[in-house]
Amino acid sequence: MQCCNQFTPVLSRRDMLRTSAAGFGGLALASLLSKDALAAQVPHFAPQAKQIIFLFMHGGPSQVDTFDYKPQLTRDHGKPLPFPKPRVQSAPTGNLLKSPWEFKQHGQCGSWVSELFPHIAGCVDDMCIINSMHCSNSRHGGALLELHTGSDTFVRPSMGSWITYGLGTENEDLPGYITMCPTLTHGGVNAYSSGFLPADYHGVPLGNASIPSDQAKIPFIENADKTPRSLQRAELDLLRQMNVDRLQETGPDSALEARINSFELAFRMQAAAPELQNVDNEAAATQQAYGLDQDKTRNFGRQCLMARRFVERGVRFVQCTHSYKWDQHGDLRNGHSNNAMEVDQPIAALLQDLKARGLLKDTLVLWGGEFGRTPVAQGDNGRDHNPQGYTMWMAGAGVKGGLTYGSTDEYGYYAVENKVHIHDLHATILHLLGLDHMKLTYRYAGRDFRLTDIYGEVVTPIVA
Amino acid sequence: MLISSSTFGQEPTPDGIAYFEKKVRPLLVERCLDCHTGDETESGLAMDSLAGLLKGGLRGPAIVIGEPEESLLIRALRHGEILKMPPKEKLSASLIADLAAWIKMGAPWPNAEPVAIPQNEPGSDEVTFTQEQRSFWSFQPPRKPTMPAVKDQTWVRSAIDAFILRDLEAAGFQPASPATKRVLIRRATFDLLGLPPTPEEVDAFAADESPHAFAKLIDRLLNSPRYGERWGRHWLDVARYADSNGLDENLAFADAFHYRDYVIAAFNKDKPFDWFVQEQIAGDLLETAEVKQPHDWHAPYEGTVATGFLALGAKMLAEDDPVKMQMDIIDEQVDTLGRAFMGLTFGCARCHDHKFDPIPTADYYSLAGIFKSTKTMENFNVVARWQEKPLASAEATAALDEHKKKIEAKQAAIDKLVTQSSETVLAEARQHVGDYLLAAAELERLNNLIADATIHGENPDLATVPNALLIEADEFDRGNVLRDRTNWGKGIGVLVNAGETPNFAEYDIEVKEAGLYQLEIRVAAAAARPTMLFINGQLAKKDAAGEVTGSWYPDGQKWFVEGFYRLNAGKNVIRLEQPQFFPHIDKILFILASRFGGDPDEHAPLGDYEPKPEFVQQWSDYLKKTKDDPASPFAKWQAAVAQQEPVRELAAQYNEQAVGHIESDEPLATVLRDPEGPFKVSDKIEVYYAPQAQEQLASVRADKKLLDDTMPKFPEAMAVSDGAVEDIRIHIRGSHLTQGRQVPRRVPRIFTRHESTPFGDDVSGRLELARWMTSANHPLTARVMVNRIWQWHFGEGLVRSPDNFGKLGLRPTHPELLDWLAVTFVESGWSIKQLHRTIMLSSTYQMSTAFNEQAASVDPENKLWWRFNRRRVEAESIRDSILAAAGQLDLNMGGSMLPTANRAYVTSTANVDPVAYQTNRRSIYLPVVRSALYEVFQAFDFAEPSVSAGQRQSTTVAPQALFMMNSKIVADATRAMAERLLANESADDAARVTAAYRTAYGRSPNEIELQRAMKFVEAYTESLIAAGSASEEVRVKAWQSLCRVILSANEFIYVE
Repeated sequence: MQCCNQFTPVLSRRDMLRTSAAGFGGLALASLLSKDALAAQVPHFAPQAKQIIFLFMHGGPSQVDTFDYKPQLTRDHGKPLPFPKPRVQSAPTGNLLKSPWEFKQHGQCGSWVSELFPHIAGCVDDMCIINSMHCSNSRHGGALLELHTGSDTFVRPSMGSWITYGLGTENEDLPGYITMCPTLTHGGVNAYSSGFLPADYHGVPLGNASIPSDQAKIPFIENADKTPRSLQRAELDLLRQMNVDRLQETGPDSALEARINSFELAFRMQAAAPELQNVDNEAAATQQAYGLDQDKTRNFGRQCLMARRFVERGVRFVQCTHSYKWDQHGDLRNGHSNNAMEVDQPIAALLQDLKARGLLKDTLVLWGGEFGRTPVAQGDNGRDHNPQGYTMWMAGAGVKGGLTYGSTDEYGYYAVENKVHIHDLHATILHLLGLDHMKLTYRYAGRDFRLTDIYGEVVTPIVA
Repeated sequence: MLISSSTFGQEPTPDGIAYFEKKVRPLLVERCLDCHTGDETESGLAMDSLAGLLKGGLRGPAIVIGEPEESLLIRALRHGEILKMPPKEKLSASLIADLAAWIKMGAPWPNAEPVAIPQNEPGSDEVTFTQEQRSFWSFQPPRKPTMPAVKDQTWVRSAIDAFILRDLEAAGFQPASPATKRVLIRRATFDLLGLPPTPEEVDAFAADESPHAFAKLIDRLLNSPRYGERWGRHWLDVARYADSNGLDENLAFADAFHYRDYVIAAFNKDKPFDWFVQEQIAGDLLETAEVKQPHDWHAPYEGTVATGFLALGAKMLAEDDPVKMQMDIIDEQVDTLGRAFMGLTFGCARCHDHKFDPIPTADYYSLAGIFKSTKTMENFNVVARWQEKPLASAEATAALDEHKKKIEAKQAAIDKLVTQSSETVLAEARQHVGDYLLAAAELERLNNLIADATIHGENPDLATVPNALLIEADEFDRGNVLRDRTNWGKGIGVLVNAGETPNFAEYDIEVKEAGLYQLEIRVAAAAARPTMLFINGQLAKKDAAGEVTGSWYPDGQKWFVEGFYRLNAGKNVIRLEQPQFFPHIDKILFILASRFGGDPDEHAPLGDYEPKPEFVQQWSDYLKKTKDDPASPFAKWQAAVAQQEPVRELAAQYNEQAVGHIESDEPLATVLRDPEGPFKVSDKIEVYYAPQAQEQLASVRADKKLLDDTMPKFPEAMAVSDGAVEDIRIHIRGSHLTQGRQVPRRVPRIFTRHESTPFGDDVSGRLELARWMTSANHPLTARVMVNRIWQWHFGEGLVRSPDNFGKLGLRPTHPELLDWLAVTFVESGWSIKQLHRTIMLSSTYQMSTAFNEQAASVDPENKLWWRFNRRRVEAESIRDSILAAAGQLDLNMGGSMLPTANRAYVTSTANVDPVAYQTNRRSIYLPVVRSALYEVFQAFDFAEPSVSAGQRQSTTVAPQALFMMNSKIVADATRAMAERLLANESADDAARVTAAYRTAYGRSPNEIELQRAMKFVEAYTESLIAAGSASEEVRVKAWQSLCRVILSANEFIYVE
């Protein structure tokens, strides 16, 4: 038997009908069937990571103010850039602008981190910092879609959808792919949509960017009429009886059986989700570590804490979004200070918590924005978009901790050494999850599609 | 071809060879030859010989001898825009410099062979297709096959049945038994209308014993306006219809609905499909073309609206590279057109020859040229703007254009008048640079004076000060305000609002001496109420008495120095005006300033010319800005002013220097002419125009306003039109930065079997393309459409990849049947309704869904059609049917329900989707917002509206169950359904259950079902009462719950 069935849509209709025919007469087998699309799949090869948490910094944090230390930029502050700017730019920019923040080396590895991230700096020995990221689009919409789907031109399935398509979920009572407080702009749902993959792999949103994380919920998870649970159970019992009778009349039909089970799953999910999102019973020390006791860090801290609870329960892909705040065309000093303060402690707490619970060895944590920012000034206290070279980092399962990989030029404008394109990053993430990006395909409209299209190379030097 | 003889005319020098061996060869070997040598060179570039470098690869020659800056190799090594080599790691600057130096010295290479260098990319326009490509099934025109012989003739009602039955018999299967009439009417009604039949319709059909009962039913359904709403929606999937752009900038397509309504109407009118296709590609051209025949299926402007098909795509509207943006938009059009009408994936040939189908890149760019010659966008800015066209008759459009031209002409006249009159004012002003220097200095002096001024109002001996004039504010000569002496002005008398705005008060005053006067005002204000001060009709200060003193009452009264102003000897008029309410002004004081220091005449004009205050302010700003510039023509002036030397003489010198030299290149003249300099023109100087010019300007402006106000308004639709006609070049690897040879606009050559004739230079080619696509023997257009229609009836097509009829697509399960349907379709005049009848009247369509274990084990996917496929209805039908069952469905047709203004953002980071879906209109009318799809649509596999989609998924996932269990829509609809059941007071509970079953399923419950439902309602009621609910509410809730179960059950949303 082939190790995966990626070349046919999920379980083929043929397979389902066969199994279904065998199970006719009772629903004993039905629960097996209902797992179909989201059932845990065998990866292409032994995975190093089972789950992934993506901490998305919408707006584009500046690499030269965070993880990409450029002393030459400080020295040449105010001078013109000595080489050409890109042909395509999003806004006019001026001369070199040094970082307002000090950099120091941290940890055993001595990775450079600026004073914007004092807490994260304490985790560098677990982090692999990639300073040579680059992508193709200089606008938020294009770059955001490229980061999430691999395409800045067309609507394509998101990486979380590809991953759940490839691996299924580990928890039947929960969605395999959850995105917390996603933005509705710059591509909106396309960033977590399953595109042409079946809807089973669509990211389940909890709220959106305008909803505080403690109020973010799965759509329709609460009954509009506040029907008591016991009565809802009675309703579902009648429904089940009617559907089972119907099935006796029609003869075997996997879709009808699956639908019977989907109501049971929904009922369980309805019970599981609020418990899962409720962080009140976490130890006070844990809540404090994530910054739930402070106004600045509460919102993103809760996202991070929920992310840990989700991966703990087997959700395959979890995304936290620190919404559209990092776009400092102006007011860099205040803006970046404030943003960093909101995420620094929660992220460090997440890494430490995952590690302490033994989850980090199976969980890949990814951090970054849709692009970086220019080392040259926009106005006198701002930076423009920069897709030419920027930083993302990974931590946990399968990556070499303490490594700083690739580099930009002396000012941090262009990636020049060991360049990593978004396609390469996608290939690497799939690789860590035990998936070959060349083999994870889906045939749509007569063509086999991949997350990495026709591109992508696994960045092997960062793989542990 | 050019033989590069000169290069090889001389042998490389020994030094050159040494350089090559030391610096170049090792570099090439180590860093380049892994990919660029041997048989399989990357991009066709071999770097193991000079010839290879000179010949180059796909992107052209790698080096130009002697010209490193012109050499692609060097640009690539520097990681330029187009190409970055080596891809992963840039070479060091010194290595790149070594190679550049080598090219510069003539690229010495030992024992190099002479090489023929192509001047350009190979120019051949020839293409050869293999026999296999030419004979591929879908490129052969469909031919009407002969009817096959079958054993069971009684089952055969039409040709369809003969083809189906032949294969079933060959496989040894029996077709499923015929569906019952109740099943049949439910199937047909959902199929054609997307709604369940009413119980009365079911009963009537069941009772109709006529052999033509089903044919009559089909005709009734086809004549219902609901039919177009159902089948139009199918087409909208293919047309990737949406009411917003999606992608990066999610702007409202508030005029897209015209296209949606056009599609619904087209289906309802049974518009011939060939005409339907032509309109969507070139409707604008058809309307003006010679064939302007009136048809009952063609309404005015439909041609324009139909081209919305090309305009509706999702676009990256914030792409910084405008050329890329345009090519991406064209690509979307070419690809959608190919998939929608021909089942071909042209988009795959954008970067390279199609890997599977005989579509060379050249043919892609032939099609792309057609759309490059078509105008879809108004501009390609960030954020770009798509084109919309008014829906109006040719005459009205011409009149509108005429009207717009008139407006443009008026605007031009206004601009001309303004320019001329301003020039007159400027010409005079430039003669008086000295006066402006003096006036600017005076302004500066007065500003300093205010800061240093002493307040005289508080001087108890004011009465003895000569040339001081104290005015009690409440003793105005004209005004519309109250004199308050009892409340806010208790004991002093102040101005207060009397209800009429703007507040104003005027004073006629007399002074003996002309000169500069210090103005002071005594005022009380708890909030700022800046007031305009006019002296002799001129605005002197716009924020007089604007300070906050902390109280409105006399205890808040304070004196302020407002400024220094010139008064005439004798009578002067002072006016105070506030758009709303006055602050509480008590007193106004004028006192001759020349008494308090400074020579009042030092900065007076040199002659009769009065400097214009607007320019004076600009001069003051300009002088401040250039204060430290030693090269400024005013450096001498600045020094003199700083030293407080007398300056009148110097000012006069500046005047002389300027007069007569205004047009010279001297620094002074340059400043005076600088449109951004101290004589920068603003609309404020219009008051200095000659009275005649002012009158003329006012009159032309009034004319223009009238034209603006009377501009005809028409609805607008997203539409394309012909643009500048041009052929385009092949974009190598899809990049507009590397272009190859130019290709003519023409149809793809695989279809023509010979040289395809290019379209004319005077047309985009859209109409020609559309006509070719709908020619009777086109191999794909009819086949693709009949396959879609078959699929929408049966759930699967005869070709099960409806959008791909190419090599990677699936082969037809019944090729002869497909051809028979295609030919019959064309013969019927491309009538879709006729095709429905043909299909639905077949025995094949009327089979039941009965399970057949033997057939299922051999043919589980039912490719042979041994039974009818049971199907879940689509998202729209689920919602519409729930509303219909509740008796709530609103059948109004057409129009936009998008609450967002055209081109405004429909979503933002912080906003929940603002679109209102709280309506009972049919789902097809709900806004389709890309990137933020209505959650009900999203839950039930609505087609992704950004891409052409011929097939919908049918998934079964938990969120769908949550929607049925918990959503407000289902709660509201089931409540309404329950209330309707309960409203019939004569009915008993059994009758109510029966009514619910009949409404939802088109049948009555059996005894078990009836008892079970009643027991459920009873138990539910008891639990609610036990929990303490009120009795009437309990009844509704219990029945609502039963209705929710009935609508949630598989029987409701699956059609047999």
